[in-house]
Amino acid sequence: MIILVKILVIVFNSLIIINSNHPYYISATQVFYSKKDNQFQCTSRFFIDDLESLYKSKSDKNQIYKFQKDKFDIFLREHLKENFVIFLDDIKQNQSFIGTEFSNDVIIIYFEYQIKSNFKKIKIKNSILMNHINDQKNIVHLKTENENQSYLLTLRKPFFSINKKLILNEN
Amino acid sequence: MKIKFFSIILFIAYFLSGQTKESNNTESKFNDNKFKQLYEEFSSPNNFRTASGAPGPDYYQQKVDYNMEIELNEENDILYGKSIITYHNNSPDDLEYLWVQLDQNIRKNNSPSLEKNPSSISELKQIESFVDDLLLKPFDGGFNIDYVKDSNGKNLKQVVNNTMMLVHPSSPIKSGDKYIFSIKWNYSINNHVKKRGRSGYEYFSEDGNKSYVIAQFFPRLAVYNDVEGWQNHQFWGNGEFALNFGDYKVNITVPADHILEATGELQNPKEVLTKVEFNRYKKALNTQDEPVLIVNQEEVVMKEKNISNKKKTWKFIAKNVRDFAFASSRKFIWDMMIVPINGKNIVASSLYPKEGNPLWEEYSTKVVAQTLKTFSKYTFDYPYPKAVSVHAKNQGMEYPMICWNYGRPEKDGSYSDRVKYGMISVIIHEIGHNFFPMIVNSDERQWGWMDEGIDTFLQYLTEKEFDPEYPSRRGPANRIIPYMSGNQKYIAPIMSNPENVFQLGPNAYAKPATALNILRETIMGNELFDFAFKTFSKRWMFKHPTPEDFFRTMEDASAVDLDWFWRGWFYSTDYVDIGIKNFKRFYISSEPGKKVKDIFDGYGITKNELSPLVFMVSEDEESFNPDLKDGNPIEKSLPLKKFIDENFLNEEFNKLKPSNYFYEVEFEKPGGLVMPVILELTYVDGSKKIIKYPAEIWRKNDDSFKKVLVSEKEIKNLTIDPNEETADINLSNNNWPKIELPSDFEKFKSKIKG
Repeated sequence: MIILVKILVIVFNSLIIINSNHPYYISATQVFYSKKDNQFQCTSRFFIDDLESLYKSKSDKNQIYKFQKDKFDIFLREHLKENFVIFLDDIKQNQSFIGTEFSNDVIIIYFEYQIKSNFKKIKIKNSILMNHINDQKNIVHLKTENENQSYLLTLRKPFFSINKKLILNEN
Repeated sequence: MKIKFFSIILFIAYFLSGQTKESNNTESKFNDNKFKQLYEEFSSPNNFRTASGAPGPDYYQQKVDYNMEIELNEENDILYGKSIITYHNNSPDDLEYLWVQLDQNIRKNNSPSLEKNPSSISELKQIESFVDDLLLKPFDGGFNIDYVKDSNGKNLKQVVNNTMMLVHPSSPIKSGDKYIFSIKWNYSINNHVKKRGRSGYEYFSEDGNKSYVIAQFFPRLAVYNDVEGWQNHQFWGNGEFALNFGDYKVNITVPADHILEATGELQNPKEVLTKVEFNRYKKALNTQDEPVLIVNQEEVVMKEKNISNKKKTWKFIAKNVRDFAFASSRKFIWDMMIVPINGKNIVASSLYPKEGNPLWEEYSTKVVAQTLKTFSKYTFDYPYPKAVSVHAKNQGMEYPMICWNYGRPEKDGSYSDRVKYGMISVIIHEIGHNFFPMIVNSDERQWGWMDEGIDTFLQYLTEKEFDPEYPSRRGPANRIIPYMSGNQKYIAPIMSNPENVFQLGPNAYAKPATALNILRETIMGNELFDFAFKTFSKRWMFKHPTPEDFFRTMEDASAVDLDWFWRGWFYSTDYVDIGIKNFKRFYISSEPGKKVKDIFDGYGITKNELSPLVFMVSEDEESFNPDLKDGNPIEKSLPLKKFIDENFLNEEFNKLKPSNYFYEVEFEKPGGLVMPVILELTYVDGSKKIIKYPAEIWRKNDDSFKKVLVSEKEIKNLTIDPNEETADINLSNNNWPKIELPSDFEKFKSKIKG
């Protein structure tokens, strides 16, 4: 038997679909701090149908819904800008959207931040989908060359902060 | 004193092989070799099941025939049934009691399966799920048993234990006897969309109609066999079914305007179809390639509005099936055609509400046909007369000759590739289940992977035959990497009961399917695999195999020792990670290199005291003489030159095309799984060559090993598993010289920005 529901399973940076009787809303985003490029390189994985249902809810109800990737990407770019935010020392960083690709039932969103290296504190907010699906859980893996820390974000607390020295083991 | 010199050389060679640092390990151990045969895991072969994996001389299986009258009450969503059961006791044992499965009882309000998982309050909840989970009473279903009687009409004593009913026959059923008894029952039909059932109805609010997909709808005899005794493990929801073969005669009464399909051959098409429908039906039975519509969309739209209050009875006969299911609705559009399989015409058809169009009219029946062709090719000719694909929302579920499949377009009829390929894949999968487990009748209650994994493997082959560019989700080796490299806390071996695994999808479907694909493509090769696989399928067609019967047959019919493979992939959660640790080029020299010289010094001997030797010096040695790189290598060692001159004619030697390039490569294996090592050499001139070392290379050294490469051309670099066919979870150690692989992020970015 196959049941068309997706689920949990938190492997680093990937979502695996398994069968279960309980729908579970989850995403995984890897934020890689590239020291050599002074960048945060971000890769987000969402179930397409979750984002599609958000898109449908925001599109014109009088129009028959049709999936068009270019329009969907523009929509995602806006939603991402509002809902995925990185602050360094309380200053909001500029996000550049790179693009999206599909992998079966999952959409992968690529975006990055060009940053200055002399920051002390990082705060990341990821509230994507949370106003639409209240059970949405967004996992953020903050990764450097040797460290990997994971945070589970929910509508109650869709952000986390951490000192730079804690992720880099720096003094 | 040649012998002495010889032993000194052996001794020096031993030192050079790097064994010097090893202390004398005095710890004893049991045989934990990864190539040890599976004597402890497997049960002993016997007269029921042989060591070759075939049914033995005393193999038996019970047969259970059902004669049923069923009525579907659409108004109250109640199913009424009466069955006369003939139980053939082919076992050597006298049976004091029978166990009957009552799967619908999983929907009783007091069912323990409702409480099988822990739960916690989530402080935030979507309104709909809050109401469903915490405010509304759960649906109260389950069988109401009116009576269980013997053939004389005498009530039989019965006890219900959750989803299993114990029936005491009037007297023990002797070996070889048959026993006839009857059961009358009814149950409330659930909405299968709401709580994700395998059977039930879907309600269409726009026209007020329902479509029914009905299964596990009658009390079914449990299996009694040589492996489990009674297989009466309770139905908890995940572990599916263990069922007996038998013959079925089933009459189903439904509203007169319903269209109904079921397991078995329809006996009275003339009675239940209109004249027009009947003529189309006859036409479909003579039409290939393009399905004929027996009931079209226009007619269905009319029926949706004018509901009939008359009844009709559809009559079916099915031979040698392990189950029975049916689908019924006035909303069903029906198309049909025939598929010739090796000279026999099989009927392929589809039932779908208009909500499934235009996807369903275009693909469903054609996919059924493709599946029957491909699966027959790899197993046996499809033995049943027909195969039906029914559209049910959100679920894919299999029964003999009939199955339910998802895949629904948007309201305006548009659909994405995702929906389309999802639908095609699920139809292939569920139709494919006719072969496993409907015909090769494994015990799903205990071994979910045996039907799901084998079926998913053949699904992959079918997808590729349907369209070589098909976006398959499961099958290719590299797709299983995220699962196998995941947190071990949430991974169970394939050989686990489906109730006790963390992730049923990868566990019972994707990983075994991938393992079989790797076995076919990389370890056994197509020819050996296909023959062995076909042998298994034919041996166990219409019988009940166990995993061991499969493991044994695959080896018995191929002469490929696979115990290491079954142990690693099916009994453990190990993963593949093989890498290159070191790669060195060596040159011929008449002078010993530093390592050898040090040892010579230690013994106080010189090379002149020993018989003539060839020395090999690696480029990275301190005292390496760069002159060795140029000119004819043979000339670099005078003793070698002398030997060749004395023993070969010049011409003769040149014909041997002596190699000039000597390398030593060292492999490491951080992963637990042993696998063949596939090594790709890339030469300086750009050409490539693949060398494959058998998995057995690891049998005495599980961590690392070295190999000598003697080459005619200079090697530029090495790659392990260049086509990603072994599910190696870590590619960063697969190249020499080591290359830094771009991250997925960098790959995507450079693709976008050019």
